[in-house]
Amino acid sequence: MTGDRVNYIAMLKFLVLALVLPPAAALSAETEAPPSPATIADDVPAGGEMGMQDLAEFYDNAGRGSGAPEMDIAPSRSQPVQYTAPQPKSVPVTPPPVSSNKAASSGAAEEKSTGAHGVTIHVRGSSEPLTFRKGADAAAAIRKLPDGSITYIQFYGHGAPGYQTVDPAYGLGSEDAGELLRGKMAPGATLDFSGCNTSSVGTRTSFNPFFGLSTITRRLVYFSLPYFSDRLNGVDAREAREFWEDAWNKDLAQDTSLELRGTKVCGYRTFGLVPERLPGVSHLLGREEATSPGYVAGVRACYINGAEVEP
Amino acid sequence: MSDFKALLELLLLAAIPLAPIVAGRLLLRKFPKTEAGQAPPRGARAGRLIGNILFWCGILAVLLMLLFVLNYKGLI
Repeated sequence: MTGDRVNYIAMLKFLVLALVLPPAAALSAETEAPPSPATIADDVPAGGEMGMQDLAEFYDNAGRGSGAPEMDIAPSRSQPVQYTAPQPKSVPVTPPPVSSNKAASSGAAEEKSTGAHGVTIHVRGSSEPLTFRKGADAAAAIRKLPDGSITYIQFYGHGAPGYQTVDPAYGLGSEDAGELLRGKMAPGATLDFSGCNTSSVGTRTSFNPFFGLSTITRRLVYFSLPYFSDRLNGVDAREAREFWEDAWNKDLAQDTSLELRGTKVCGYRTFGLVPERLPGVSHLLGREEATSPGYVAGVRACYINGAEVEP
Repeated sequence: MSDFKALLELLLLAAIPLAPIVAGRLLLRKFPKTEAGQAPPRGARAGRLIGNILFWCGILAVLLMLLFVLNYKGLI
């Protein structure tokens, strides 16, 4: 009984603290784990080689078959694809067509739009950025680039703690980004993950109410809900808690900065609201298939070698 | 116990954006609109102003959280 009363008091204190101070600070102080270079791509599922169908259609019709699973960033331990990345093992030798200002198409003119997302690459010696709609096309092109040639690269799409998607069939974690870009980045280059929650909430106290709301939502969506989902599926309480306590606040930007030494890696501590992506607005602005987000309302964080630097 | 803690945390977190709505509503009830020509009681204008700010900020907070969730679901 005493233990229960103590817990009630602790919870009440937590509520008061969360209301008076920014909830984000209260949460992060309580739960943030020390930064770890550990990655999340250890258990790539059998179906993790995503984008095979797209690649096959575009290149040589090889490997056509099961089709790639839809990338789902919703947290579920029964769908480990959330924290695993498609390993671009089957990248063809032929580089894909690269456009300058317009998004590169993968050959299917009638292909239905999947919204604004893509990869933008600035290469040394070229004033025009390379832009891609599909992550697999970008990966193929990056592998053909000479070492030290990328001065800036941006992955734009949906994000989750520890994970960034580019299109419905391509996403990457810190290990994948490290493997793809190692040696390709020029000295002082920047890698931008333009996706929600691609950095941890951090430990800095913030009085920004949007930051607090975003952190609350992040905690609910990436800890509370998957925890109860696991419990309903019969997972042990301690195991579920340990797993999601670690997962909800993963820092993709920091982990990637440890993989790509010397590169400035940036992500978002919050959900990032892209005004031009709102329904209707993107249509009005003609940005339905944009490969970069334009203005993003969100809190950025940048790292070099795991240490936070000014964005 | 772990489940209880998680449930309590879930409820508290979900309640945070609702707290300003409740506080604002209480203030607006405490300081009702005065009839035309009547002098408002002391502090009524400030009370109603703060009540309105809290109430509408709370509504916005809930909408923003919905926006985040829609974003998380990939709908936006």
